[in-house]
Amino acid sequence: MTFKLSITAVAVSAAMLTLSAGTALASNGDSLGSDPIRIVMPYGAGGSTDITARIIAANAAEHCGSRIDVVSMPGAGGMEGLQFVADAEPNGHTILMADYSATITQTLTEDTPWEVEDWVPIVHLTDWKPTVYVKADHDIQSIEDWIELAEAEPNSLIFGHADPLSLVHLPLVMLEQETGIQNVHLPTTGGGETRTMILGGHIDLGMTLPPSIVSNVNSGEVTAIGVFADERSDVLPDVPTFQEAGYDVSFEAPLLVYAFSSVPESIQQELADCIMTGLDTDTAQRMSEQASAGLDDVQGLESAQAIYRDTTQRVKDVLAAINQD
Amino acid sequence: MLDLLIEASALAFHPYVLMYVMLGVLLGITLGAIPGLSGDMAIALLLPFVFFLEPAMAMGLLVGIYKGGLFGGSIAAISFGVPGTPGAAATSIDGYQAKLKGKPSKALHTALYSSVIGDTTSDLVLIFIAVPLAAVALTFGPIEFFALYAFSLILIAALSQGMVAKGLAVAAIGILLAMIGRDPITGATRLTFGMPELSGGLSLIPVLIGIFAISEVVVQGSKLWRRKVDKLMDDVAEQASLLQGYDISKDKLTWAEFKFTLKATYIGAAVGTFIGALPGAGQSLAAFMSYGLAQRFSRKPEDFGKGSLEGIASAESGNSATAGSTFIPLFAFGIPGSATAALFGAAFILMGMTPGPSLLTDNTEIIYALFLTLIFANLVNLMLGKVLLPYYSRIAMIQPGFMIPGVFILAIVGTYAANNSVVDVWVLLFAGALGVTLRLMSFPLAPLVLGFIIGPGAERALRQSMIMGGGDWAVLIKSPIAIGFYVAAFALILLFTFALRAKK
Amino acid sequence: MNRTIVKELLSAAVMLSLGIAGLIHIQYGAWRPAPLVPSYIMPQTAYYFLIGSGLWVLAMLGFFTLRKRESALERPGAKDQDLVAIGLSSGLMLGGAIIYFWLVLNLGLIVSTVAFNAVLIAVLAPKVSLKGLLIVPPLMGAAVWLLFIKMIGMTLPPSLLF
Repeated sequence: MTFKLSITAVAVSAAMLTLSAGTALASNGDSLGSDPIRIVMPYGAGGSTDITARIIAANAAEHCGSRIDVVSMPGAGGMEGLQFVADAEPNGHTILMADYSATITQTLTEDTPWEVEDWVPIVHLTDWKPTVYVKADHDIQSIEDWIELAEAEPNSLIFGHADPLSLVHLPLVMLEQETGIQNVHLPTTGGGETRTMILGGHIDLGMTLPPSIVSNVNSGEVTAIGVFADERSDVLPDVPTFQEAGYDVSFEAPLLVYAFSSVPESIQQELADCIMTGLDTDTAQRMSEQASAGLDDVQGLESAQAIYRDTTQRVKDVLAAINQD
Repeated sequence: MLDLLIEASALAFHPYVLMYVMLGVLLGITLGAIPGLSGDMAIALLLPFVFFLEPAMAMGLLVGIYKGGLFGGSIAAISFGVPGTPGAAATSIDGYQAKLKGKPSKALHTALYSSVIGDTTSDLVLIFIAVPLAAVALTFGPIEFFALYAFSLILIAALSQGMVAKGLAVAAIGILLAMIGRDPITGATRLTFGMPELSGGLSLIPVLIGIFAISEVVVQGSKLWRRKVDKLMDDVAEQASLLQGYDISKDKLTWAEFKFTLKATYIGAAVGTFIGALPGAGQSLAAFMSYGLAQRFSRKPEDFGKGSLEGIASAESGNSATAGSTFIPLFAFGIPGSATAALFGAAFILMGMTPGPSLLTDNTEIIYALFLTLIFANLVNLMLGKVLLPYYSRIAMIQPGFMIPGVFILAIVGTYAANNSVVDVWVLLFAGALGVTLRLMSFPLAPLVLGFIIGPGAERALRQSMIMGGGDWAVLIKSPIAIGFYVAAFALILLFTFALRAKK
Repeated sequence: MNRTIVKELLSAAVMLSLGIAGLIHIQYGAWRPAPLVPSYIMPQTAYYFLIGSGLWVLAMLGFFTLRKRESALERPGAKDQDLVAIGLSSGLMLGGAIIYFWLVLNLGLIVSTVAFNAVLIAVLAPKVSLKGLLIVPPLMGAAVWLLFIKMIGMTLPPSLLF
């Protein structure tokens, strides 16, 4: 029984409960003022993106010179969040944090008022590795089992993924193109619902991101059968990649922070710098480790933009291939 | 087990932890009472700070906010007819009527007691039978969920006394309102009438407050107005005279009345606990379903909708009884079953605990401390509520000529503040106009709101089931649980149609 | 024809026309094709229910009118009200709310709140005194400022006045 109840903890929480509104100073021209910064996250509260955003908010605030709020806007498949950032005053106080499905896939497939290039990635936070998993007592227990069964009886296996064409659906489409197998694609509201259906035995396979199933894998309830990445995931080191199994499909999803293109470049740079400085602290690293957020190799503007261009090209290729079918 | 309890109580009953629980409950009741804001919002705001607190204190704070918020929603629902939180929508049906009859204190006390009883029941279920109940919850796939949604809609519509057809019609309108926006599967916009602002769909808060509260405020307001112009004596005038003579000492909840509501409270506790354990079903559904069942089994079903204390008790206990059981899927499988559970899951993760089957074995002490805190927070809720309620009932009895303008403004500004959205306010006023029209044409409003709340879930469940069944409707009756729900719904309709005939 | 019958006929007409309009929209509107299940499946079900309920209301109406028991149609305990008058003044109140919120966006939150509150009290409260009109609205304005601006930090577009 060694729980110390520190006085500092009480002080910190007392401070935050005052809910004080930040003093408003008009931001002048091309530098970041001290108005509150808003990180818009086009997903529901409580998910892995939310946790990452809150780690940034808690650590980067002092370096960026003002309070950072995390705003969750899951409406319209995330489109509402993007719209909000695009409409905001271009002073760098409203930024977006999202994976590629919101900024690239949806922009390419939907009629949006912006182009893919309007989103300027400023920080590359981490890469997610889409993972396929099944219930532990299912007949399929490996990539080979799956392909074999799907080839024997096309469209007999139900595969749960989040939104269509999202980062946990595109890899499945690519694999089907590569191997010619066919599955029934079942859209769900997200990783939580997919997992419920897998555990309840309502569907056969599902795709999600490693941190959300680690605990179920360790307790032996589900089996992760394969990872769509170049290397195995740190948190699931025993799970092979699809490349190891002989299928050349890999699609890691970068998690990026974006500014809208109308924000001046100097402010973009300033934001990138202060977020990176904030995430480089011990507290931030400790938080990231506890939450399995993978923020140990955060990259700045240039790397983020390179990977964004690369991902855009890949998504375009996949979409073009889908439309050919 | 005993050692463990002692260690856990040392953690849970530390003075700082107790302080945080009280602070949380106070914050939760206050935020819950403001229309549009809920405990979830405060929990989301406080998440990053959880990292800096000791786990027991952080849990105390969050649990306090959550429970306070659940009860706080009923204060606005009863006092002004404005459901403070979505879960309190069912409470406002009878709660506001009871207040209009000059019984705000009775109504608020019934809400408080049933809320605490329902909540405690659900916490005990979480502590003792979480694992078996979680296994039952998992058997609910899309097919079963669709049946559950259909059952609850039919139940609510069937209870619209003598107006089953109109009830079904407004439920359909509610579902249609929920379909506005993007199709969840193809992503295409639909039913937006060419307005890009609607592509995000209508949000819950403005529709809920507009249908229930704005319409009520406006109809009451126009009656007052007409009375002022025409010197007409109608029911509002009677109320005004009643309010002037309001004496709180005559408005005490008696033991006999309390005992009479207990059956409804137990029904609410059972239904709420069960619905809470189903991932994704939600507080509002639990409240409406308990309300419907309690009316079915009441000895005075004709009082429902006219200020029945049983109605308040069932709705409020059903709503609060989701509080403990919503954690069952989170603890058993790491699946957050509701927005609140997702936020608690995030808090666990930030504190270095992974939600899921290993949560209990890896962090036994802290989880047991959490269990104790859950129960303790109910006591705090009861105490604080008891102390504050007399003041709330007096506020509820301010003269309507002054109160209606205030509530009207609060509802508008509060709706805007919930999402900082201008569109939401226009939706609110549109929903208000719709509510007024339906009220004047004697349509029941509860089925509309329930249809709107469960519309998206029902649609997803239906389409998922059909995809799984290869596009064949027959898939909907492939599950025994689903068949059970459909049979029960059919039986209820028959029962109500004939019970009605017999009475006339 | 009494008021109840008019009301029921009107309700049935609304239900039927909504349902039929919806089905026409499904037939001729642009719906993106979805795999296995058409994306209008849920609205379609709702429209069927609307039409069914409308027919049901009409059937009940016919049944009770023939049997000369129109009273059975009214909700038990409902009061007879002058619907047109209440509808009209409700419309005026909602119109006032639109003007109020437009003023909030353009003129300023606190100023419009105080003004709207004063107007409503003057219209609604019986026997209102000048003192009440001078004290209550500023209090309301202060409460709104404290709650929404100070505590919650609501963001409004920049406006002309406070």
